[in-house]
Amino acid sequence: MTDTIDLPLRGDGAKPTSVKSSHDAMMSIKLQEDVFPMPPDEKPECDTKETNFNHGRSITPDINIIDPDEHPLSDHIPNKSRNPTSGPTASILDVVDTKLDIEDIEVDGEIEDNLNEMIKKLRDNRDRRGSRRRRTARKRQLSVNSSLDDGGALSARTDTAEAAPDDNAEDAEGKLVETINLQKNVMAHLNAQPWPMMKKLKTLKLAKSYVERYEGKLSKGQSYKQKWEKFLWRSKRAYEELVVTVTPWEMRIKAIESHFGTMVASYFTFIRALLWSNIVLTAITVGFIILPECLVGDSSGHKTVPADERDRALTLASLWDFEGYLKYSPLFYGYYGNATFIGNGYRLPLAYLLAGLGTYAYNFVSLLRTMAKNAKMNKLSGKEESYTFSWKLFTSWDYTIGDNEAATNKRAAITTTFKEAIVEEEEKRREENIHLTRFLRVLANILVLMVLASSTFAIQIVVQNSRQTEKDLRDGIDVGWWRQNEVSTVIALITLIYPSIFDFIGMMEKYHPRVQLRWQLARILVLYLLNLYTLFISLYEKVRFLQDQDKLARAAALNTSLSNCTVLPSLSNSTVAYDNTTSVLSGAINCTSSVVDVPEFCWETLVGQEMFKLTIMDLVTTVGGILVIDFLRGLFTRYMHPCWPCWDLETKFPEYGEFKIAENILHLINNQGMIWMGLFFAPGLPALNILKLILMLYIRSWAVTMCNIPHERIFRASRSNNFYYLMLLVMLFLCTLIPMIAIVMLEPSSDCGPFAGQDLMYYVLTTFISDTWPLLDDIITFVLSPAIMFPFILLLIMIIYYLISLTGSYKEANEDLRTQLHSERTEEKRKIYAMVDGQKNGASAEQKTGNSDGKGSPSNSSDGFQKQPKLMRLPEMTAKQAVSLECQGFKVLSPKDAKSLLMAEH
Amino acid sequence: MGNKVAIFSEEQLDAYQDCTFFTRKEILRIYDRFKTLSPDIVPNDMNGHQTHTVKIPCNTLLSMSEIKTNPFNRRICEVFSEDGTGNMSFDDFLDMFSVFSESAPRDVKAVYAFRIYDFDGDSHIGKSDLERTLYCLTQNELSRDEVELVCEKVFEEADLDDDGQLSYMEFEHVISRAPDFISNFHIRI
Repeated sequence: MTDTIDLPLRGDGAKPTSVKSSHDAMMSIKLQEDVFPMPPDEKPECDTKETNFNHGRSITPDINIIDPDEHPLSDHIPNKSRNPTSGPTASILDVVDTKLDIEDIEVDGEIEDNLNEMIKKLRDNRDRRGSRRRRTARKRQLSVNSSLDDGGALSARTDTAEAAPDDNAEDAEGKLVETINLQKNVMAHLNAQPWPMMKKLKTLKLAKSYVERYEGKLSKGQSYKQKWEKFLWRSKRAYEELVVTVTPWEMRIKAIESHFGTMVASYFTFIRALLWSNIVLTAITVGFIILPECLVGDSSGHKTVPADERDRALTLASLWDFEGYLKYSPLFYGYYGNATFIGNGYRLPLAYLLAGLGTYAYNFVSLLRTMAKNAKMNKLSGKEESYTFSWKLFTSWDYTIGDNEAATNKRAAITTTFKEAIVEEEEKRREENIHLTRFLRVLANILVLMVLASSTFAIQIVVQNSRQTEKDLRDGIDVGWWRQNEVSTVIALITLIYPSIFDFIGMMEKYHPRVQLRWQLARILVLYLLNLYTLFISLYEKVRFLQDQDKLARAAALNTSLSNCTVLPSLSNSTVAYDNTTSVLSGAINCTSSVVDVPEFCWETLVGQEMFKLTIMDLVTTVGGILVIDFLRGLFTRYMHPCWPCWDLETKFPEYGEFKIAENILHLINNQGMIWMGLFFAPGLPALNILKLILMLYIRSWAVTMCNIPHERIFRASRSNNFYYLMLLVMLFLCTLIPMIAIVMLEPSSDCGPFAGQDLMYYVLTTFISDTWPLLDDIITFVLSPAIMFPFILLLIMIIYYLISLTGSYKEANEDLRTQLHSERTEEKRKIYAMVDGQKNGASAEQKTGNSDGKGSPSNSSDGFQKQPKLMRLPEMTAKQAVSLECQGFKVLSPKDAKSLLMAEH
Repeated sequence: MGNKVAIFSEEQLDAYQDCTFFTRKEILRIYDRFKTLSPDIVPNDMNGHQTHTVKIPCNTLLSMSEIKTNPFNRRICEVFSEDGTGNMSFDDFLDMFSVFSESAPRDVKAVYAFRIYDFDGDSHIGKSDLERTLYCLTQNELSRDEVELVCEKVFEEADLDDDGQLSYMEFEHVISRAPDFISNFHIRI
């Protein structure tokens, strides 16, 4: 029992608490520690070195001196054995607080105690928050005769009544409000108390009745405020209900979770999170871009299918290719007109630009917020592995598992990890053939580089091929399915196959599985990014090429039309010689305009189309992959297993597919990256992605439950979800770069889209600003001038430098604290040993009188004593002397020594 | 919700919402779950004291799919039932899922985890508790020596005062740094 351990230490002969104080008591002990500051004379000599644990122990026995059984209130307590909280708490109340006044609210004593306990806890927390607050709290304590602080919240009314003559009425009301707020706080935190429901309900009832009683006595302003708060609270609750109600697929995810555990389910929750973000994206694009243009847009932009494409505009092939009607639909950039105003003064081009930027901003903000939230949840879980075994023992079982097979697997997995850890512990590191491993690792990296290069090369080749395809298509030559879908198919196949190649290569590196997984993920991420960038760059080159071709073609067309047109008028108007030249010119202009009336090439739409195709193709290959790799394989294994003569199908070769969480999540991230990249050129893309994600969710969940087996061993890339969010953030950043470059550096198509006629897309914004608020324009120009930018960048660099060094120092401080923790442990042990030593040699009488009444308490110390009896070498000393000497001795002990001592002890 | 509201009074639902991490709908869902476990025992009307008087026996609870395969299932029932027998009333049942819910804070979860692993109920996790925990997790897969080693290691890591057992403080200290604890100590209803 920890409570009693240090009783001999102080040697004050305090009577130990009865053994039956249980967890509830422990909670209350924690509370008491918060509430009652340590009396100065009780402090152990070396209090600077005391840990929290020490505090908790050394104080509480004093408060608990009174046996719960002797306390009058304990008679009222039902179920004493289950709820021993009441014992210690009641005794606290006896010691500290003698005027508990509840007037006519009838409740049993236990509940009051609970309430007071919580109030104290809450108040203490609040006080600890800031020194300023603490000061005011102290002032209040002094001025109001400690009416609130020791009387407990329930006596507030009487207290205020007493205080009213001294202080003014406002003060009293302030106190009442505070008490009510405290009660409300109690209600708000009630669900976080580890109490049985009955106790919670009763406490709630008490707090509620109190609030109801005294709320009416508040002045009008206060009561309005209360009402408003009540309303806010109501609406918050309604909102929470709504969120839960509209959260889809909860049961589906639960089913998966109970089969496969939390990790697999996290994939589906990730899909769901992505889905929400895509819904917001769709809402933004539809609301600000698509709807206005469809409702009130004018006829500029590519809105109708040109005559020569019309006959094949509805064929499946062209729809599949996002040509024909789809190409001239609001899904793509080219649809939108460049009129500055549409409808009643809606600036569509500006809205287009701002909505585009807004979606990216939204993504960044929401991602960062999620990450911050996750980081908060994870507290201090660093990479320190100092609790390997404890964590394995206490936290490795996944309580969500509700499926027999999964449970068996999980058991096996846990056993394996235990065995591994034991083996690792036994023979720390045993490198076999380090040279061979090194060679293999280098080789593996070379191979990976080659694979990456081949991927880039393949994409470049197919995009170059597609130039020819594009030309042929324009000339009306039928090119066949393969050539039309070459790019997207190749990319989708690379996305599907290459990760497996990396996996294969990774096997020869012989890393620890977790390290291996990290390498694998990093490589896949690089592959995906490389693919996207290669694709975009080669598409851009293709666009340039086609634009050049167009220019040539147009020039040629101009020439021919010129020659044609000059012939026609000269034939008809041969007599009017002096008028000839002008009519030729006008005729030529007419002719050219009629010839070049064919919609001009729109590269933004082309990029958008490519992204659409890629998204669709990716979906097709994913579904195909699931069907072949998981479903057919599963079917084959399942039904051929009984009649297969050679080997065990289920455990050896084809097996059942495993659900590769990391790769699959990465795949989702890649997909989202494509969406972000294409978003600006194809406002309809997120809408498509919503459909895709929903489909994926259903198919994946079906496949997981039907044909995959739970993992034997799961190694995670990271302990927290944030790892994936971080990758998503990297992806977002790199994918945002491309549209940004397009906005500020690339010339938009001159004939289509909202920015037609502008030199650069962002000029829409700058002209708008300079038109509307010239002053703001001046300010921006000034701010962006080198005079401001240079110092600003310098400042940023300085801040970054400062933050980096700050992080470094924090890290160091963390290390120090860790070492200190180790030393604390050492000190603790030394104390105990010295204690026992001293007791044995000099003051054995103390042990007899003070603490030998129960077998439990001294046995621990004697345990330690038996292990290392001579460690301290402090003969003939009383306990107190020993302790003080130890403290002094410890102060000169360096952390290193402490560590080595610790090692020696083990 | 229509007829469902009649199962509990408005006041009860409000109180439950205050005392747990659930919304109204989830509370009703948990009630449905509770009822399907043993339709004969659980009444349709829970307006009065039925919420803590009507109890489902432990064995019926153990057959529930959510905890059927859990190695600590009996222990969970015992810890959450108010009288310690493993028989649970609706209040206990709701309490259990509230603690296991996603939004329950780490502190509450840690308290109950401690109680679950403290098999003998002496408010300390001693060596025998560790052995039983380990046995629940791995059955007979580990040899005697290995079990010894694991227990020794756990004490070495977590037992800050070297008294051969883990107090709640020590347990919480370890648990609060465990990255998987929150996600694993969780049952979805």
